[in-house]
Amino acid sequence: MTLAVFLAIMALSLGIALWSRRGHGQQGARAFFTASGQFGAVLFFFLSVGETYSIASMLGFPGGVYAGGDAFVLWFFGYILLACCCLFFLGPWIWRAGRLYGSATIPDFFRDHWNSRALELLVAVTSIILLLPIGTMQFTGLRLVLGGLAPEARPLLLTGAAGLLCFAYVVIAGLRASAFVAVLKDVLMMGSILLVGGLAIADWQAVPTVAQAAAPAVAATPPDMVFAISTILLQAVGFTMIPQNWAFLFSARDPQAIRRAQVAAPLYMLMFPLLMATATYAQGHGIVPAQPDYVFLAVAEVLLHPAATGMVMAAVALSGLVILSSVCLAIGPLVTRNLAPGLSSAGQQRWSRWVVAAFLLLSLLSAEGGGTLMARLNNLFYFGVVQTLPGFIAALLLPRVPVAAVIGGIVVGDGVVLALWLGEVPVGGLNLGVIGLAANIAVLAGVTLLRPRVDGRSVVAAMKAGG
Amino acid sequence: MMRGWPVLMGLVLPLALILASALLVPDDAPRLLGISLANWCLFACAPITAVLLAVCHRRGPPA
Repeated sequence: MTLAVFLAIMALSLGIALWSRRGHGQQGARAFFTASGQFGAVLFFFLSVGETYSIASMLGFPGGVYAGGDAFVLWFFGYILLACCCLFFLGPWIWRAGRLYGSATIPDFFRDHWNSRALELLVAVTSIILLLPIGTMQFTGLRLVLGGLAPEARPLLLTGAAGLLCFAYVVIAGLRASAFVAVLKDVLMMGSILLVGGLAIADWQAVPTVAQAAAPAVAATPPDMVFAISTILLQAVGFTMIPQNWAFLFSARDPQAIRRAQVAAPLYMLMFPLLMATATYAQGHGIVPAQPDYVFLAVAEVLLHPAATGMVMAAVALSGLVILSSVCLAIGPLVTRNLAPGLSSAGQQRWSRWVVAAFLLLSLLSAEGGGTLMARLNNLFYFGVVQTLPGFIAALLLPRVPVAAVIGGIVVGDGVVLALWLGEVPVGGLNLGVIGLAANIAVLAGVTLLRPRVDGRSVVAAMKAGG
Repeated sequence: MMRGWPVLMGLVLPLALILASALLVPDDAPRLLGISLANWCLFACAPITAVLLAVCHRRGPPA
């Protein structure tokens, strides 16, 4: 019964992806990758939250609470909440900057603003390296869900089928398919969390608390405030510079749609107390999952009818697939527009399919192999992704910043972070990305003072001048 | 009114609320549903932030 419901929902998601392309059969490359300017506030909201809450939110958050206590909750919840505010203010400007140059990717914008192929390549290569681990992380989560659904099946077959489904979303309608499947995913995700969390709370007193040696108690360890504050700030601003987030920002019909969606976005976060209550319910009621990250599904299996459990598992799987498809749609154009320029619109879409297939295969095999390297690289994600922020702010406001300053800033910022991280240098609990960002800004300012650009124009000035 | 009030209301105030929930709530406060009072205060920041952003959207300059 669980499997039947799960498969029915997966089939429904494929049907929705097919339906999403009606009236948009022949799309240009920019429309395919970014659904440029097609989404109003409601669809943009679903795509936005679909991109934010991955399989890590549904499985990793309660798993982290179950395994390690609640010390990480402050920075994890804090940065996502503050990211809504950052997107509220910066999102409309990213949209305008993209509209000004007709950009589909971050490197498109940097290339056109500074007329620099070297800067385009630098931003494209670092973006691709930083995005690679996300695929592995999603497949690792999918492996956990699908393994629970069909324990006797070979995991590679199950994750392979999930990879094929994701590939189908991408090929069918590009970002439009991701957005429409995200609506299904978000409805199921919220429904699942309300159902499991609500039943856990309703059952809180009904079942006597079981003392279980195997179930770790909630640790009341206070968070490291230096790390928490620096991480909240860095990741909140870094969130605005994530390559696939630029794609969904470009999908908005106008800047007002972005703002309206971000006003509602924090309300979606009310799922976190329910996820946390689910983890503490498992601890207090003797539910011991095979792995900490399976705790949400383990509670669902105990409390729900098998059909409803199938729905919950489908919601978790879709949360991984939606992010995966968005990352595919970010990596595809990074390769076919920025690494290999000169392809026609149709050529970009055709070659992107091969890039996406290769990315999915690499991610799948990496997850099967344990994903150790990718897990380490994933730690660098926000450290690296935020390094384009000083350049973007400079593009918006500072016409005298030369391209050498932006390139130097990114190289030094990434280099400092990498050196500190590899050398395991103690920095007093400060998030390494903040140190890299400070080095980046110092280089950007220093080079600008030494060799200011003379013929530059900021995005804001260009907007005021009417493009 | 001050020109930068939307940034104060929509960015600085939510950050201050997040930090206040961690710094001002005592560690030994009672738990509800296994969740500490500090974390309940943190979770309460989400709807408050939504209201603050709504005010910025309605009363602030256009996007």
